[in-house]
This record gives sequence, structure tokens and C-alpha cells, in this order.
Amino acid sequence: MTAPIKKTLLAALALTGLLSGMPAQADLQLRAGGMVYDTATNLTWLADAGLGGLRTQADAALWAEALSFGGVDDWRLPTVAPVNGIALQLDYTEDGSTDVGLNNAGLNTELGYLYYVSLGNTAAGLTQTGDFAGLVDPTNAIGPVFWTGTASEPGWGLAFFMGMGLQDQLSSDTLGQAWAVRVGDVAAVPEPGSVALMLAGLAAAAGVTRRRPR
Amino acid sequence: MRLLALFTLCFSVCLGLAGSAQAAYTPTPNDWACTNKVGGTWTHGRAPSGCDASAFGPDSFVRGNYTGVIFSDASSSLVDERKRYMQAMYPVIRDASQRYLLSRKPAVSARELEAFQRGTYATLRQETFWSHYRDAQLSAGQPYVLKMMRGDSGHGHGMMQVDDRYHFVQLQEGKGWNMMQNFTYAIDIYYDAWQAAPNACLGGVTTPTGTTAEIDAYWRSRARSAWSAYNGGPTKVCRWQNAADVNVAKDNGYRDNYDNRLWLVDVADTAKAAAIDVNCLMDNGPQCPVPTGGSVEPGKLLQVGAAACVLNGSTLECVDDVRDAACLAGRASFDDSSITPVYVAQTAGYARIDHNRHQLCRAQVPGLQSLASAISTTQPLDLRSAPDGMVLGQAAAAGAQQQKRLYRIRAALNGALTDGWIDAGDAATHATKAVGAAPTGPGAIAYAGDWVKVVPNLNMRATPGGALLVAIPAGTAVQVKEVFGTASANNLYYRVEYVHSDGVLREGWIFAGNLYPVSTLANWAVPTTAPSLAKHAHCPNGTRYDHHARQCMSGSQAYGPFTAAAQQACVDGGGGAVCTANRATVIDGVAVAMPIWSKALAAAASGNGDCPRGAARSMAHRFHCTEAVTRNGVAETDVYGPFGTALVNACLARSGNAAWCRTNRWPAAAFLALQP
Repeated sequence: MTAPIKKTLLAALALTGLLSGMPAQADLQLRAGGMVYDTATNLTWLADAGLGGLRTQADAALWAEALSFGGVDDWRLPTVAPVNGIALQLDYTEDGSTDVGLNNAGLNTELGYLYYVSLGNTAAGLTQTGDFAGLVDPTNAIGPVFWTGTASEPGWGLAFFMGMGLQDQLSSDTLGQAWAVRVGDVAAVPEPGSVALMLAGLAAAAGVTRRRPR
Repeated sequence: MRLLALFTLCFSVCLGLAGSAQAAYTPTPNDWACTNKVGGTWTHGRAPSGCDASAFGPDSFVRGNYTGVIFSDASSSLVDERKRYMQAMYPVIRDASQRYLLSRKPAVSARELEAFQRGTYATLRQETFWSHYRDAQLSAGQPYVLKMMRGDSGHGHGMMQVDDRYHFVQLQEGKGWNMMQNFTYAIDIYYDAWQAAPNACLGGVTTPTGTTAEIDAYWRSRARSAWSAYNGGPTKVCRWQNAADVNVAKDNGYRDNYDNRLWLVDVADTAKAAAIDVNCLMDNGPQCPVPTGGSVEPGKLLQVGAAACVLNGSTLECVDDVRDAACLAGRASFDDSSITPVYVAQTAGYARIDHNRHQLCRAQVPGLQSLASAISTTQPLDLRSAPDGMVLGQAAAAGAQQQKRLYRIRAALNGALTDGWIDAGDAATHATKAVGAAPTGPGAIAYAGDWVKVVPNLNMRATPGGALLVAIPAGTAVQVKEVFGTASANNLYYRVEYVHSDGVLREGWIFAGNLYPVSTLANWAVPTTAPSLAKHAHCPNGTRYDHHARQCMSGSQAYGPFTAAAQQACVDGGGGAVCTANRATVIDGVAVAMPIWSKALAAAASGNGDCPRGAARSMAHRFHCTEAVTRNGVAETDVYGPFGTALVNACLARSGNAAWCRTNRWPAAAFLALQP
């Protein structure tokens, strides 16, 4: 291999390392310590959606509220505000016009917006998971199901079936996944793995530059 | 006004009674073909119990041929009536027994004839106190109706107590209902033992010698032998000689009857002539006189006794009362503008299915309420002592077209619970008269899937009232698999599973009491909780399996899967996207996709039948509701739940944790593969 070719390859590797340190979706930015910030909603999510485990809705809420993670402790369960701005509508629809069904993609539903808009999935099923872990149940195409903190009826709460993009209600004593979210960003520090790769790329680029005058 | 309907119709599975069965055991339930059962007293002519004679033949035949030998409860003096009745009966039995024995043994001695007749009289006293026909009331104020003696929980027919479990075909031919045929058929059995006795247990002696007392003792022994075998079967001809036999009290009772001849107390003139044509009635049965009924043909609504039947191919499909004829509409087409009476004997050559009206009618008549369900009347309705228009011949004319709903209910009238009947409208008006309502108290009866605790030691039988399997100790909790109601008194039976002390799991029937005239359910089996984590159906948290709707239900939603027909009805009714949408829920911790509808939508789309719309019970699938569907051009059968824990676990293991194992609908092949 000749020297000019080596230099070009090193430059390409350096560029690759820099790009890999960036989030896959424009609105979802990976944060250090296992969090993902959604610039559109100003929400920070745990990157590992399975961290909370299976809990009843009340237990899931308690777990989230007690969580101290990434240096912050204002975590909670995601919520759903009525799509009509007045009261929850529990009739099933597929156009997002009520609070139960498919294509609930408005900012009123934090999980719905994340699924449909920020991650770019459709009602056909989950295909984009971004930097999140735990959004796929390899044994069940329609799971996992995540609790929201929103009650729908006495003894019932809204939940989100991640495998199919469905927002529906479950009895609040059902065991669903607890996933924490908080308002606002945390310090915008790249995660260690990406930092290492990016530093390697920068170092390689620096080497190329340092040799060039010689 | 909210009413608790106790005696309308009930969920259960029909018990097919094969009319073509021969002498082998037939598992008839208690009080088979017994309508309007009445009690009685242990006195001549009035032994308990009695059921409508018309179930087996026309009353006109009895009244025309048996004048004088019908006990009348309407008499001002039952003592005088008893003497009148016995005075009429004695010469009949005297002549009949003589005629029979002379036909079998033309050269019989006078002494043997006398002993045979005395043995016959004692048999009648022992079996039924000489009771056969009786005019009796169901309750005070009701009309007197011709009854026929039915003992032993309804299994014994007529004065000779011919058992329908062992003589089913013969009873349909009149060997129970027709008194002289009942006598002739039964005395054959007695006579066989009479003849067998000398060799079996009397040292081979057929012509005794010695003193008068010794000769009397010999004939007494012949009679006792004959009755032991009559009661216990041909192998028991010498049973009376064994003082340790468990039936010694019966045998001694017969001995006392033979010795004491108490029938003579009510007979003033033993030489009086019989008032009926004994010879004709013994020889010709229902052909004496020749009947004038119609013929059994397809397309006709047939009245067979009290039952209504239609011919479906070579099988008669029947319900036990003409008033329920409308329920047969789904079995075979027929002209409902008239009803053709035929004699039971004319139907003997056909296979016969006696449908349980509680099941059949719900499937055929929209909006019909079930046994023990609560109903809410939407307008004032007369409560009647008897259902108007239910007399034979009228109900059929109204039958299939109008689908009149006549409910026997218990209602609070001026603070007192009162039983009676209401006319709850017909096909066009029922929704404005009485509709289903939520029960105001605990359910009167258990439904399949419920757990009950048996109150006394309770026999578990192979069929309702059938062969004894084991006794379930008092206090044992068992799960109800099926409910069967029989007879107008609504005798209830539960099919249950039970592991006996021998470790063997058995399935059988327990008696659960009566609903009418007084509920005795609490004396037999009372509701209890499931003794383990095993469930009779698997539902999402916050829901319960509704045995009426046959779905998991929350307070506002019904959980599928639903039948294809119900789904189509949902679409046709403008239900929208939810009709075909697969939503999701969590069952046993696993996310499962399925349709979820509002309860109102599910009720409208699934209908009010015994099975959801488009489905029907299948004996081949253990009485589950099934639906034939075509998917991707392939014919398939779906089986609907409930599916209990053991079955679900087996399904999961066999299918590799298929999600549908946790739902209320399985492929038939998968269901059948898991059956023992």
C-alpha cells in the first residue's frame, strides 16, 4: 500500500469515528450515563427502557419517582394528556382522534410522540429503536407494554404497546414495564464508548495533519 | 319492578335420549319425561309421586278405557275414594293375574293360582300401594290433571314400577303408561322368578305336600323368591333367605305384605266383576281401542304425549312440552299452523333426541332469558297462576311465528314472594316487556366454571340420576363443568370433576336441588371459592369471565376473540374500525393481541344465544361452542372457551407458547389434540 492511500484511509476512518458519535435521529440525542434527550419534546428518557422492570402502575410510578439517575432525581412515568384537551376519550380509533388506539402521535402523549415522531415508527409496527435498549420483546411481537402514569378509569390506566404502537388501557394491577422520563436536558456529554471512538478519529486526523508539513 | 326469574330457562347441554336403545342401561335422568310432578301419601292409590300421564299417551285413551280405576284427589273424602278405588282395582288385578298365569300354565292348580295372585297383590302393595292413575292438583287452586305413578325419583313407571333406565324402549311403547300393559310386562318378570324359585332355593319342590301350614309356607316362599328377583334381578331369587343381605328390610317388608294382606281392608267384595276390559287391554295395549292419531311425517309438528317433536331425517327431535315447540324451528322445518297428535307407540321406530329446552330455546329465540337470570319488567305484567295459552294445541299455533315468552318467576307482591307466570311478549314485543338485568344478589345457581361446596355427602353419578360412581364427602369443593335442568320442577344437576380418596379423577353428576316450588339448592351445594390458583378461564387483570356472555369482561369492555359472525354483525351494525381491529391486553403477564369491544357492542354483535352468534355447541368438542370459518380459502373450526389452567398450560407446552393459548378461541385441531 502506498503512503497517499494510507493517508486517505486514515482520514476516512477519522470521519467515520466522528459521525458515529452523533445520534441516529435528529431529535434524539444520546446523553452520557445512559439517557436520551428528545429535543422536540424537551424530555430526557432512560436509554435502557427495561431498567424499571415489570410493575403495577402504582408501583411503577413509585419506582420512577424514587429514581436517582444521571445526577437527577425528578424522574416520573410518561403521561398522556387528553387529545381533545378536555377529557380522555377511551373509544378505540386508528387516526389518533381519541386516547385509545393507533396513531396517537401528538405531543399530548409522550410515549406516542416518541414512537411515531421521534423514532419514526408507524402503526405497522416497531422498526426504529434509536439508541434505546429494551424496546423490543424478542418473544412477543406486540410487547413490551409500558405504563403511563395516567389513569383512564378507576382501577385502570393507559399503557403503550411498543411492538404495535397501540395506546390502550389496562387494569392498573397488571404488570407492565416501568420506564422513566423527565423534563429537560441533562449535561450534553457524549457517552464513553462514542467518546473513545471519536477521540480515536480525532487522533488519527491529527496524525495526518502533523505529518503533512514534513 | 325488578323480578328474579327463577324458572325460565337454563344453560345446559342436552342429554340425548336414544329411543332406539335396547334393553341395556339407558342413562335417563331423574324424572325423565315427568312434567308437573305431584306428591302423594303412602295409602292405596295415592303413593308419591305422580307426573302428567299425557307425556306418554292421550288422556282420552285412559279415561275411555280405565274408567273407575283412576284415583280422584278431588273426592270430598279420600278415605271413601280409597275404598272405591281399591274395590275397582281388586277385580282388575285378580282377573289379570289369573288370566296371565292361565296363559302361561293352563293346568295350574287352584292352590298355586291363589298363591300367585296373593303374591301379585303383595307386589302391588310393596311397589306402589296399588297406585297407577290419579287425578291430582299441582297445587291448591290448580286444575286436576291425570297423573301416572312415578316412583324412585321418577325412574319407576306405573304401579309395577318399571324402571326407565332398564326398560326404556318398552316404556315408550306404553309399558309404563298403559296400566294393563304395565302389569303384563312386569308380571312376566315376576313369573320368571316364580318359576325359577323351586330349583334355585326351594329344593326343587314344585308341588308341596304336608300340612296346610307347610304348604302355605311353601307358596309364601315361592312368592318371596319371585319378589326378591323382581326387585333385585334374576340372580337374587333367594335373597330373602339371607338375613345378612343389605336388602333384608325390603324382603321382610314384602313378607309382611304377603302375610297381612292389608289391601283387603279397602276391598269389600272380592268377587265383584272388573269394570274395565282387562282382556283387551292386556292383549292389545294401545290398540284397544284402535287409536286415531295422525302419522309421523317430515314437515309436521307432532304432539307425542306432552312433547312436541319434528322429524329430522330418521330422528325425532323433541322438546318436552308443546309450549316450547318454537324452539324446534332451528332443527327442522315444519308447518307450525297445526299440530298432529300421534301415539308414543307410533314413534318407537325412530331415533329420538329429547332436547334440553334450556339450551335449545336460547339458541333459537332471541332475547330469551335463562334459568335463574334476573329480568327487569319494563311495564306492569300480570302474574298468573298458570301460563295462559299454554294448553295443548294453542301454543303450537302461536309457536314458531310468535315465539311467545312465558316465564315462571318469583316476584315480590305486596312484600311477599309469590310464584307465578308472566307473558313476556313475543318476537315483536319482548324487548318492551322484560329484559335482562343484573342480579341483585348472589346467583341462584352455579354456572360452568363456578366452584361449589357439597353440603351433605353427595353421590356422584355417571349421568343425572344415573349409575353411582362415588360419594363425595360433605364439604368438598368441586368445580362445575355443566348444568342440567330437568322436569318442570327444575331439578338441577351439576357435572363436576372430583378426585376421590382412591386418587382417581372422575367426572360425573351431582344433584344440586330444586328451584321449584321452593329452592333447595342450599341443601345440596353452595358457592365457594376456587381452592387453588387454577382458573377456569384466563382473563386480563381487572376482568372476569362472564358465563352468560362467554367472554372476559371488564366493567365497560368485552374481550375477544369474537366469532366471525359476530364480527360481521359488528361491521354491519356500524361498529367501525374497532370491529376488526386487533387491540392488545395482557393475560398472565403476556401481551396478547385481540379485539376489544364495548360491552354494549359485544352484546349486540354476539347475540343472546347459548353460544355467540355463528357458533353452536358441539358434542364432538366437549360441548364447547364452535364456529366453522373459512380463512384464506381453508375451512377451519374454532373452539371457544373457557379454557382452564390445566388446558392452557398443556396448550402452551404443546404449541411452543402460542399466544392464542391464552385467549378464548382455539383452533379445533389444537383443542382436540389436548383431550384425553
